[in-house]
Amino acid sequence: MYGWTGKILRVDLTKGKTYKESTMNYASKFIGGTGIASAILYNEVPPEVRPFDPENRIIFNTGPLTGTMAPSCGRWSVTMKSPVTEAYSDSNGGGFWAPELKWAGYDHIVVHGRAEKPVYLWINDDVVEIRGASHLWGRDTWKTQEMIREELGDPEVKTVKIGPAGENMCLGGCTIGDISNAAGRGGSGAVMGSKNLKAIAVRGTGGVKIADLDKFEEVCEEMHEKIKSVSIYDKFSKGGTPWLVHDGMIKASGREHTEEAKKVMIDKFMPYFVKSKGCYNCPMHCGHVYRVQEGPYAGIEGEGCEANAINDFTSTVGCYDVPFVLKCNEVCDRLGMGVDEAGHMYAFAAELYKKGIITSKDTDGMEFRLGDQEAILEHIRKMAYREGFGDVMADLVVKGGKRIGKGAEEVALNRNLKKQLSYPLRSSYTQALSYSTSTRGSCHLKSTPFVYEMWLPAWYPMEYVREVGQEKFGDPEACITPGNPDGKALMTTEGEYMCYVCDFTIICKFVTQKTIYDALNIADIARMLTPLTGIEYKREDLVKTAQRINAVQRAFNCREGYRREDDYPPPATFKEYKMTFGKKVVIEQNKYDKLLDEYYTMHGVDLKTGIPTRQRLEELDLKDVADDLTKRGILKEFEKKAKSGEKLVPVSSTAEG
Amino acid sequence: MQKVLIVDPEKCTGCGICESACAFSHTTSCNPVRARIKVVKWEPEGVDIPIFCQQCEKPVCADVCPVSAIRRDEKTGALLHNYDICIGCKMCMIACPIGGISIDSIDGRIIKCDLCDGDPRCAKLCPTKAIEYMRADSVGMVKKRKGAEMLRNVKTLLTGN
Repeated sequence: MYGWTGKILRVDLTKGKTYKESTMNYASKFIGGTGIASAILYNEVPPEVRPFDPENRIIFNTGPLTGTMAPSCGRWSVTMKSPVTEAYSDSNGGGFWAPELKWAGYDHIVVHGRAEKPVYLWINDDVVEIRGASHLWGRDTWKTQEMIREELGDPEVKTVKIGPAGENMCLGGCTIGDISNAAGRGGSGAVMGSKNLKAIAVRGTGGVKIADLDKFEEVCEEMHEKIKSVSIYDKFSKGGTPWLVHDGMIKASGREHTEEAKKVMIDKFMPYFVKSKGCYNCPMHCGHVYRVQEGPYAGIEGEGCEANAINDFTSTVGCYDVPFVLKCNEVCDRLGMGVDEAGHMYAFAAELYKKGIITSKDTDGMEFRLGDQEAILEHIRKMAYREGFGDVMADLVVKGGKRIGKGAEEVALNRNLKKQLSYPLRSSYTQALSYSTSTRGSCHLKSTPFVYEMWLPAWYPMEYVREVGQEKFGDPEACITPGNPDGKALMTTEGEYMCYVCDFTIICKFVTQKTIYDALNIADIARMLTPLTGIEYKREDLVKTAQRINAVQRAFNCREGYRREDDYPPPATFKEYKMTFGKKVVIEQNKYDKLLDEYYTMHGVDLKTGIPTRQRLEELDLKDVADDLTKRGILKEFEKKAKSGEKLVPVSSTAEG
Repeated sequence: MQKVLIVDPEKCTGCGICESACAFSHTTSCNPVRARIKVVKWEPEGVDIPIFCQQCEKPVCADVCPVSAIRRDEKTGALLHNYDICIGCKMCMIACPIGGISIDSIDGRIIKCDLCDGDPRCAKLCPTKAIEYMRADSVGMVKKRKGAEMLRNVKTLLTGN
């Protein structure tokens, strides 16, 4: 077996048993990563099974490229029915755990059931053990890793684990690889906690087999070089996501920054970033080690304070203090808490408090004032432990809002999208559409809401931006007309292909066209997959796989009750305007309606309901999904079928890239 | 003029490209367990140090070997280990003060850095040049320059202002 290990590890925590299944049952249609995971979820987690039921699956994924010489292929992902969205969700993390799992001999781990007492999984090549974790339960993620390594007598053991947040089934509870690589979204930590699964420890010595060694080596080296030659390599490799997001977004908004905001720009973080850090085999090494040596937070050190954390613990909560951001990041890593969830819930509570919807009687005396560092840290702790009002906060915006009532749900409306954390999406039609149609709830990682309209104009000469517009979308103005919905369904769809390819081969999105236009594209990834696996892959094959996986995820969500109305941005999106590169952008509902129709047509989705059509599903070799939807009365046989000879939009407008 | 494979741990990001490249070029699979170079890490301090054979001037490994399986390559200066002569007693591994010699757990052989016959793969692919293959006379100069820069940056020292 080349590329894949060929084995999926199945873990039944109720029976305390493990067994193996062949990856090749799924690999030809879904390749790997969240692709194979989506297929398994669809087959095995019907609507009758809710996220915290033992029968929910939590699936840990690698891809055929993982753990090889291919650059930046060290990421893992986790897929499940999410307690946040009550539908499909996945999240991914970087670091070193995923390659170790491949070397131990597994492409995926599918966990179901519930252990009677806390356990952890130990995988060491052929040895797979379900070991007691009562001594680990309650420990933070760093201590947990330390204790596991000591117990197993090997400092090279890699772990993915939950902290107190996941143990207490806080919906913001996430899974943490190494000490900071968090799969933050969707409550994966909470699902692990619901199964009494504390950690998965891996050590592997088998390596990955390659079909054509010389060719693979040649192509991989070429790709390493390509990444190091991208125009923003110097800036991104040194500044990481804090630079990426701040620089790009500052340029796009054209706004002057307040004195406060200047205190937390990227240049103020650099003195605390003592060194660059890289994930497995990555030439971009966009991570950092940080250290605080003075002040009230002196002594903290850690890794991976990214752009989201910076936003979450600065403007979102009204603080403008760099060491405070680093402190919150470290606290969240240790607790196994998503940073977005922690920061945004404080802001949500602050808004409710200001409006009088909650009072100090409800909040154990906390006033949720913006800028109150002590209160924010206390809030994060209480949320992780579901203590007092923290129990409501732990249910996040939609469920928490419902519990509070008294108008909280209306306030929540503009803070959630498909039940995930969000905010009005006004920068461009592509942004609004990408986020809204993401199958895991509001997110920027299922398409490319920024690369064409924000980062291309921010970092490349205008001539090049026009060239890209012409080549890729047939319109030189395509990347500089954020307020014009024409062509944006195609832009969103192209972005989807890139993201899905990253997610099922698993390669980091930061070294691909999802983020950097002159980085690796889909054709490049196909050129690596071919000598790796010995199977000929071309761009079209990967695009078709992307379409297939997206259809499965959409069908899964439709089974859970999602429909067209779930593909709309928060209401406030249509109410105000935003400036993007000096252009006023107004997202109008009737134009968005038409844009969504166009997107649906491209995806073979029924315009009225948002359900994939039988014709499309069968074209994508998903007849079993179509039959399942029909059996459940979701797909009606009389649904409008495309007239014979009428083609859906072709796979892609470009031949390469 | 011989070249030396030199490490600057402050530049190391811990990415392990060196391990992958080393294992891949010496064996037939992607398996860093078979690499002759390994990055030793301390988290969360963020210390990453690649460790490999330093091709010592007074090689304890060669001295202790009962069958003289370790010999100097005149061209590259590398201490080369000969599988055909080696009896696998592992005394070289035990004697080495820095862990430059280890065992390939897949085939049981003693492995150590061989400088890739004068074109070390790790140095070629390291994205930050934490590992460099440079002329022996340059090595000291690189470090001296770094030290001098620290003094240069202290303006009061030089201008008296």
